Amino acid sequence: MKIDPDRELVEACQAMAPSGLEGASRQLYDQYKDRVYNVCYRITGNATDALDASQETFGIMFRKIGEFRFESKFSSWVYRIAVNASIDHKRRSGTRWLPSIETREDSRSNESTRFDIRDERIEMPAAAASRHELEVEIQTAIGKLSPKMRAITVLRYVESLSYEEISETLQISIGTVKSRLSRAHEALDRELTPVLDRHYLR
Amino acid sequence: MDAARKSPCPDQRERLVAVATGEAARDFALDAHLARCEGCSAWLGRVELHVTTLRELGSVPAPRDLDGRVVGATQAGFRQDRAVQALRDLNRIAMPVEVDLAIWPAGKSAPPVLDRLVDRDLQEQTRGIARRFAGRIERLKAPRSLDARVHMAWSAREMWTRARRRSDWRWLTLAAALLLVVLSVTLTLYVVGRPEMKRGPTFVIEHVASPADLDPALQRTFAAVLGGAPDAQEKPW
Repeated sequence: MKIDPDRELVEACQAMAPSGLEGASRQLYDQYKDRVYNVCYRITGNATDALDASQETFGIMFRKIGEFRFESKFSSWVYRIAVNASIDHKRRSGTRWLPSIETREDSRSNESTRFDIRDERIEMPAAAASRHELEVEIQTAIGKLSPKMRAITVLRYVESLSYEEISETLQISIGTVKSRLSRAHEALDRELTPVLDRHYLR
Repeated sequence: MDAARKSPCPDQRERLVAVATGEAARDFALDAHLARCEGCSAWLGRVELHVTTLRELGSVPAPRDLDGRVVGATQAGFRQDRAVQALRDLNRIAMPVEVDLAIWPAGKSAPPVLDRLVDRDLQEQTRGIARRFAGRIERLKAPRSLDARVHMAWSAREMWTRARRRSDWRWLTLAAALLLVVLSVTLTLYVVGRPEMKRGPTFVIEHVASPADLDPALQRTFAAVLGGAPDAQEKPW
């Protein structure tokens, strides 16, 4: 079995008395906060729910870290908590995901590296607006997927996890990962293809 | 149908997604299939475009206030855990004997005053509930038709009572006469019908000097039982 890259930090966290975010736990938090927030944001679809779900994820993570036995990768464990917290939060709040412009503006104001690649090319305002519009439409398409397919899509494309890592994270077989991802693409094909056609052909 | 919107072959769908996402490599067999299958070829192109688009979504950095919220949440969680642990660690302490004795003096049962107090408490609670809920029950007004119905029923009953009082003696006489008639008829029928009912099977004893004097039917019966005609000479009856 491969050595978990987070093993040292996790063991340090397990050894220390539970307190605030200091030392190893702070490092672990810094390492995972963006990843967790991203997963939560893409699954819940808005910044407020993502913040709540991320808080819940770290709350659970730090409280249960003492019970973690390295039977899976630590990252898989954290992603699993984040996915479940996001889906549960969404289910509890009972709100249908609809990306609002304000929400996106909120998250844009908080971020500096949101469009790193494009920023280097100094986008024209019209192009940036067009990209923003496209992102909203992509997020809408993701939001229309079922929670299971949404989780798998986010883990594969946003977090770039391999099929094996997704299988470990969601505790499903690789075959299930393949079939769910294929079904997710079928659903995305219906939603996304017209959007992309419109965006790239105009 | 537009070639770009043709469906891919069902058995190739998952593989094409794996290829588009970089999880599986293309091989000669797949290339050959793609060359002759428009649906699969178009599907692969669309999935590759989706993958590129989704990957370009990029990363959303966590907002700054997440730090504070996580610190607050974890510290609250730790405090809660510590409180739970402290409660679990508490030793169970038995009630001192003195307290027991003060409530239940040795050798004595509970004083009657305790019964009364407990009873009063229970009754008070019940009354409290009744008071609380009685106020919430909606009070309905009786419909007007109820008055009319009650009045009608009451009038009918009054009329019947008055009529019965006036004609009591007539009813009694008539009832007695009827009873007498029924009894007479029953007795007559019983007396007349009794011998008929008691009559059972009749037996006739007849002295016969010779079998020839017997009834022909009886003669045939005897012949059948004895295996021939009865010999009147040898065994006279």
